[in-house]
Amino acid sequence: MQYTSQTLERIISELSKLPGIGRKTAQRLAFHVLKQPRNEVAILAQSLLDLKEKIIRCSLCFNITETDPCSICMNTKRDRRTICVVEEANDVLAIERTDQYRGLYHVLGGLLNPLDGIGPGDIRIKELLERVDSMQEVILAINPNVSGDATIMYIAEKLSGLPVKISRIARGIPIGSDLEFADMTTLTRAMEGRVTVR
Amino acid sequence: MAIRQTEAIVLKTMTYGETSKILTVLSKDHGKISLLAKGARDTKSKYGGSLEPFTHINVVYYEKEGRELQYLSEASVLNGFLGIPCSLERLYPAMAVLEVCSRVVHGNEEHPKLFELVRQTLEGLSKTSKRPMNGLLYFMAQLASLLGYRLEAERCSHCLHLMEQSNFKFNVEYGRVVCGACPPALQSTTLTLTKETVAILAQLNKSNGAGVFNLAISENSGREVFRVLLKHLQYHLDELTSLNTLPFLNAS
Ligand SMILES: [Zn+2]
Ligand SMILES: [Zn+2]
Repeated sequence: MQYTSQTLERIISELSKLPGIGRKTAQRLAFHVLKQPRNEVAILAQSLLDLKEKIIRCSLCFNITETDPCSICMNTKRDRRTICVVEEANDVLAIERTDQYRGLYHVLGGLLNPLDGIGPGDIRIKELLERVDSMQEVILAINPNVSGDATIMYIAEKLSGLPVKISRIARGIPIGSDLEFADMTTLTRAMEGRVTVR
Repeated sequence: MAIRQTEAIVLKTMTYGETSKILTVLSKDHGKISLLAKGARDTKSKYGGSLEPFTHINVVYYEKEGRELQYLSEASVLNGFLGIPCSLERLYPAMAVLEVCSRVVHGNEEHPKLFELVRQTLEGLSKTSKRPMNGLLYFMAQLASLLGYRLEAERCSHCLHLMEQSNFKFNVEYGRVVCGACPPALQSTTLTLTKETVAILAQLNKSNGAGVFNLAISENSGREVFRVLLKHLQYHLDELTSLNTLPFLNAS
């Protein structure tokens, strides 16, 4: 369909490039913005530009930040002897939301994936190894899939021999769900990852 | 639109959209299929861990002819081969099996024998406590046979004498092993092989898979056997020219 305004056509085609946004949703968003007061729209436009211009990667943990090092790396109240390794920056957000973890982070920027030819040199493993010397524990909070397993084994192998505890987050049954509906793989891993109650 | 059911082995997964996955599977009855698994990455997904690479599953899916991507409706695990992602020594050769398989199979033609070969190799790799590379060598030798390129290693392919000397040559172009007494056709495409390598090639051809992990292969011969099989398969199959998993095998 052709719009009577080229400006409208342009915003719709730009919005529909975003993940999860089809042309219909893009059209709804465009008409919504059109009805908003000018200053609201200006704030939206400016924050989009700021996102691109002000956000950088922390040179220590590779999390996204506006200051380098980031506020987590600079926070003296955090436990500087524990490091939590994640795949992407949004995993940091997810863990921070729990408000339970007090250590530092390391963002790998991907996982090992031999099938796609993604090797250790393609993600930030070397940078992690350089930080581990001063650590007591490395927590691998990596997605529980085959690429995640490969990455975890590779890191564990590289760190073997160093006096540092290496742990991975538990894999198992989601809270609130029924055991009987769990698939074999999940249930097997849940049994392996059992913890002592007493 | 037809509802189909088949056994399948997951070769590869890709993220799709916010929470979905696209799987490439080798099915028992319909060759290679791409399946869209909606919501598979959601923690509430009914699929759980059943769609990971290596997993042997029973799938139900909707097939629309002419469409590349079919919709997955149900999946249940027959065997997760969970021993594989427990060590890199098993994981790398197993991934090479998946990659080779994913490249040589095209379209929806059924390959029950290849399916069984892949399943059997993964099962062996999942259980073995020693020499995981043997699993990959066995897979490659058997794959060559299945596709009609069996690498004959019992007799010299030129003079037909049994292989008894100490020096052998493998002619890439002809895909044949010749004895030291026979002239190689072209020097440039010839590899020199040891007696052990030739004996192992013959055993891999004859093996039915059982006991393949018990086969004692020296590091040197293992590398040589792998090189010959890879060159041989690559000569016949362009798809195998640059394998992504190869650098991982070399590093381990
Ligand atoms: Zn930082
Ligand atoms: Zn001969």
